[in-house]
Amino acid sequence: MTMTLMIRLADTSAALERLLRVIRVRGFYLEHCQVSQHEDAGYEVRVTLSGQRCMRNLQRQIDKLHEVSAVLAVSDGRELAAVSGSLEGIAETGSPA
Amino acid sequence: MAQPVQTQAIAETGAQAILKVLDEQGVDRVFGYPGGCIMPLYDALLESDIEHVLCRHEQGCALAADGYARASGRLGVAIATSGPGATNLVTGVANAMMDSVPMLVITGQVPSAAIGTDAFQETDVLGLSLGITKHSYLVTDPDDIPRVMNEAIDLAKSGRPGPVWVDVSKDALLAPTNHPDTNSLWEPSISPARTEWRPSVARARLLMGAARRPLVYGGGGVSLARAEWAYRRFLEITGLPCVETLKGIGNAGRDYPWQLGMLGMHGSRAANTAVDEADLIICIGARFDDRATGKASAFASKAKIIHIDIDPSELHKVKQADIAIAGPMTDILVELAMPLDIAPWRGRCVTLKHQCGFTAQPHGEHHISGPALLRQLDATLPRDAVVTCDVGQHQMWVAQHMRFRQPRDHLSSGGLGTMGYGLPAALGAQFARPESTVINVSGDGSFLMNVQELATLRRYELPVKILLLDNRYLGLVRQQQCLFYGERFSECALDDNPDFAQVARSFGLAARRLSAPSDITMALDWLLAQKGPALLHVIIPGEQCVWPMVPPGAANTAMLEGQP
Repeated sequence: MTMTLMIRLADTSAALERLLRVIRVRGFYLEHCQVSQHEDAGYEVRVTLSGQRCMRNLQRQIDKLHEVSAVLAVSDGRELAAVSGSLEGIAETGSPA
Repeated sequence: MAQPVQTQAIAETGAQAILKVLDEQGVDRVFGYPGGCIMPLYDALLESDIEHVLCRHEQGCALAADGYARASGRLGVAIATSGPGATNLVTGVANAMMDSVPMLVITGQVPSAAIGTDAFQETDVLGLSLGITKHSYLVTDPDDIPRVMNEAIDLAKSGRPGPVWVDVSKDALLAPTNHPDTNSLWEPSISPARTEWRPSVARARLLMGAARRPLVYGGGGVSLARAEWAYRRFLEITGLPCVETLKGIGNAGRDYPWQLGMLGMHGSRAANTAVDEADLIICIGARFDDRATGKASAFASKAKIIHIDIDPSELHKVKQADIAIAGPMTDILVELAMPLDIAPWRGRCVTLKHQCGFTAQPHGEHHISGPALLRQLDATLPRDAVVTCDVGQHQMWVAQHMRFRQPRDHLSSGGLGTMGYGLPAALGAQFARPESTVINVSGDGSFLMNVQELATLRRYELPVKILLLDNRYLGLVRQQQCLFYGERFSECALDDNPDFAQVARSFGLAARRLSAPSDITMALDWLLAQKGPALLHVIIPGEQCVWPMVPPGAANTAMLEGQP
């Protein structure tokens, strides 16, 4: 199973390392990573990941990072699901795996 | 984040700025150990009102700060120097991370110009910290110190608490700061709006009303959220039977009639059976940890699940919840509480409790049984006593056979399972609660891992009592080798242990040795009557096991009651 995430990251020491560590420890393989500076300062990171575990859980783990202000799951440039900035999608019956 | 407001420069160093923020944030005690790169902070401490506790190893500092935080509900602060000072902290910080303990860690780093040159006592502390902290910082500009310190303290205490590590280069500690007003830079965390979780609570009430065999599975998150009162009120109104995790022990108090004790690997058959029979599990501040669930797919297989936690990333992580509620526990429990018509199920749980609760193997004619001894200790201790454990058989016996008034009276290393936790945690707890009796129940393996903290007890005349159960083995290792490795005992014998009473006396503690069951009452009375720190060295059999036990990876229903 593969998935692409767009992540907005603050420009702080070790922010990128912290993000990549979470991806590795939570059991995902980094297929592709592209980092670009964002116009509002900070970085926009686009990662393509593969793994057998629940991607939605990984999104929540990434969203916990202090430097992360947005996490979007995308496919062909289309936004699929966002967890960042609110608890929307979490406090629901049977959140999707 | 609020916009900074530039104010007139204040002539203070980075080190002084750290202490000023600590003072403003209500920190009045820190646990630390000095060294080269943190010396500017120790120099500034001489003019500070903050009390510093000198431990004898940095791991002791971090674990003492952990014990202080757990016993009091306040922030624990640990300080060390760069390089080995920082690396020695790592186990204690990881321990706090796994058990969500609010902790601030401050270390000195080599001067900023030397970072990355493999300088003397240089270690990449920020890199080390990534996997064991909630967040971490490397500060090289003194003007960043007030903002970072305030932010770090807020992060450590807010939401799901955890350790936050601030590594500061020596030049930043020494240099004058020209910082903006700290308050303008600090925006405290806010709880999720009520509207975000309220609809889920309404659906959860429907599930609760329809359930015939609902069960509460409560964890350490209850006390972390300071929701003890709301939790007990919830139990009182609903009359729900409950089971507890290791860290949730004490949530329901000592006398709640439908409390079935700890669940999981060394939980009671009553608790594990109730989970298996339940048609609804209400998980409150717990995380379906593998020691609690056993084989996760078989855990509560007949039940729907309501999961309440402040951390959204814990929801659906191990078990898919039917209703997941992320938000402030007290508010949620108040709204969730309603009387339930489940009298037959309560009756079933009472029967389970009486028929399949924990049983303590009695003392032999000539040997002391660990579980029976701890039951006697439980009956002897004052009600406000704090018990800290190390890790091993004694830890499980405490969890099984002692009852606690509240979770902050039982300090145990749950997630990381840190041998050597108990003694430094006890000294931290004694500082936090000077009026309480604090007792460290330890084992012979664990005790030697931080034995140097006996010197700290003596230095501060802390009246911590140590009950050391000595079976001359790494008992849980031996037990697993006996049960699951064909009795091939590998490196678990500790038959060359020192004379622990003599060791304690050499540090200035009162100490005695106990080996006869007939002397137990007298020995426990002696221990608790000592005005200063004291140790009771208890000889127990090497072959005694912790029962029941679920084999690793098996379902909780497959628990063993004795050697097959």
